[in-house]
Amino acid sequence: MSKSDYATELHEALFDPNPNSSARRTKELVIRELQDVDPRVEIKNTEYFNHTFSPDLVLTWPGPSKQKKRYVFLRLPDSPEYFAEDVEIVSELSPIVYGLDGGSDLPASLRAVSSFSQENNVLITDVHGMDRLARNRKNHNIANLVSTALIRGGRGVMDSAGAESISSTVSLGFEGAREANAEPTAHAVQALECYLAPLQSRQMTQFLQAVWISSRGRIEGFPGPKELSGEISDESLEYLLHFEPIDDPDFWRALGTSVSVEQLSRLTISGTPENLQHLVRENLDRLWSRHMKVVAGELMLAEQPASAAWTIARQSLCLLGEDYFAYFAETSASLRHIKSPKAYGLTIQEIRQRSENIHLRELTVRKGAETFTVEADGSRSVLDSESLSALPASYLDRARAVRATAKAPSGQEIHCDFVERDATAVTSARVSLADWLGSALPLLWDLADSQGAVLLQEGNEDNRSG
Amino acid sequence: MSGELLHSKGEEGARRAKHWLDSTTRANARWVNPNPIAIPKLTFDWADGSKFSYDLGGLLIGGEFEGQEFLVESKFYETPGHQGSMYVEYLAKCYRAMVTRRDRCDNFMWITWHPFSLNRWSKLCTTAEVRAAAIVHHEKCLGCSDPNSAEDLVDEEVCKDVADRLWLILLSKRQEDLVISKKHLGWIRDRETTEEG
Repeated sequence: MSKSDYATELHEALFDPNPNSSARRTKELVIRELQDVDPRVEIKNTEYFNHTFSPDLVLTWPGPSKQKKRYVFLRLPDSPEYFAEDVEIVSELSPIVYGLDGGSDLPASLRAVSSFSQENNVLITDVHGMDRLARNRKNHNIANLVSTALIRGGRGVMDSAGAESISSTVSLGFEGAREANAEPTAHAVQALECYLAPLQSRQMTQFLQAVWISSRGRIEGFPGPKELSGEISDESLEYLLHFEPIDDPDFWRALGTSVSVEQLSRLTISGTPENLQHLVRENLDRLWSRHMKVVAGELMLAEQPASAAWTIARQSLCLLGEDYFAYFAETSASLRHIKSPKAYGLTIQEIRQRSENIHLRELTVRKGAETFTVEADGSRSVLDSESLSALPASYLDRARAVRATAKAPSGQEIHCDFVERDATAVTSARVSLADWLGSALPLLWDLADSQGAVLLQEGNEDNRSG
Repeated sequence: MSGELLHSKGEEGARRAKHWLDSTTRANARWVNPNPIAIPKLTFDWADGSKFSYDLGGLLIGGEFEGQEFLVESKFYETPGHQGSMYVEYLAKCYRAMVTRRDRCDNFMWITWHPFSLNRWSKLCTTAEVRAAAIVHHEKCLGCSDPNSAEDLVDEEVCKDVADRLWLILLSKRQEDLVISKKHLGWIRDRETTEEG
């Protein structure tokens, strides 16, 4: 929708003589506009309209972001004094105050509340400012990130000129960071600090810093806060993962402190971008999940990766092997939608082969309708236990292992189900990807030799501590 | 042009009335005169083609009033002023609004900061007062120029319906402060705006 379309529709909605349909149409239009700017935002439309104390809309975002919600107060045009008073009444909520004047831009007199709104993290905007931000989205450039950051934590007066100014300053800063050019990058950092609340400012600055480092800029030379930890927004992370490959292990290692499997699962990622491989591989000991499921499947990628590769599929972090997909999630509910046909379980010989370097503490075998569970004796694997050896060979030949409790390289125990081909952390423990790759995956799937070696190497050796 | 445009005192009264109504948590005063967007929602036609408008309007919230509309005339006065005669005209406006736009007329509120017509105070919201007001303003209200025939034209049912919907509210500056605290207002706001559905 073009600028004039939004402004025209808003004008018509506002001047609808029917009070109820006027309020309804106005709010629907603002909701559409906000979703144009930030497609991830979830918007609750309250029963209020232009209420002094209660918001018209409540914005929330998926995921455990530090920012839980942001209120939007719609305001009919009023005198600058009254408008300032209205802003002050709700300022402690750090909301968006959306001026409803379909005709003209925010009056210059609102500059009077500019510093006040910045101090209180209040964003004052209107259809023209929002429209400018929505156009950023359509242009698919760095300004996208600015637009969503402004919705979440923008502050100050954001009319069309203000939106244009910060978008272009940050875009230039982005180009500057790509060339490790300090001056435009510094201007962008200053603009972000000025127009964004601390959380969003930090996230965006962190992104600029990532670009700076990827361009072989030294961290010491970055013209802003030098911090590589802290929350990074979903949008910034997506952008970064699709960005030009950053071959800097220290960078990915540092970034890994603020990324989780849950956050990665929320991202929209196409293919197996190299930066995602860097991020996951450098943090196999840090990224954790509680559940894993393996499903048979062939890679359908245009370009076959040399070894197993990471992607995001079916709202989960996924390892793509030659003939399997391994999904990882923090909750079992997150993997419930991933179905696969049940397997028969493993023969005792198969499980011996697969668990060559894995300690099994407990094993449940089934023959016909009968199942029984064997526990390990002391420190020996259950496969070497006397209880299992005591069973007749003819019985073991026809029995199937259906479940096992394995000890991962770190010592963490994992329940593996060979029928469902899934695995769960014992108790509520967090299991690192390194542990899943080093124990559950080889048990649940017959890995090709080369691929298995690569994965085990990644899981066991490639991580540094800390 | 709305008459309110000429009266900053009137603007202040309308704004104070909105804040007080909103702070009851039972009202959402959405439209305030002389906002150009609000004016069409608050404006009605007299029988002679001229127009009149209320100072504010909106919706009531919760309980027996849920979703009902209200229209308000506010008087931020420090003396009785001419409220007696203005109130009569207001009743005639309510009668006319009820005849022309019944769907908009769930509640009529007169909010004042100073009492008036004390001899008739207890009768100000009666059917008889509405009837008398319609007759006084017969040309605009009933569309007839003859006061004698106005008596026959007044619809008793309409007068009663208007009277049943009248609210006479006396505010004071101190009373404007005696409203729900910010803390409790925050609790209600959080609950109301984060509940599902």
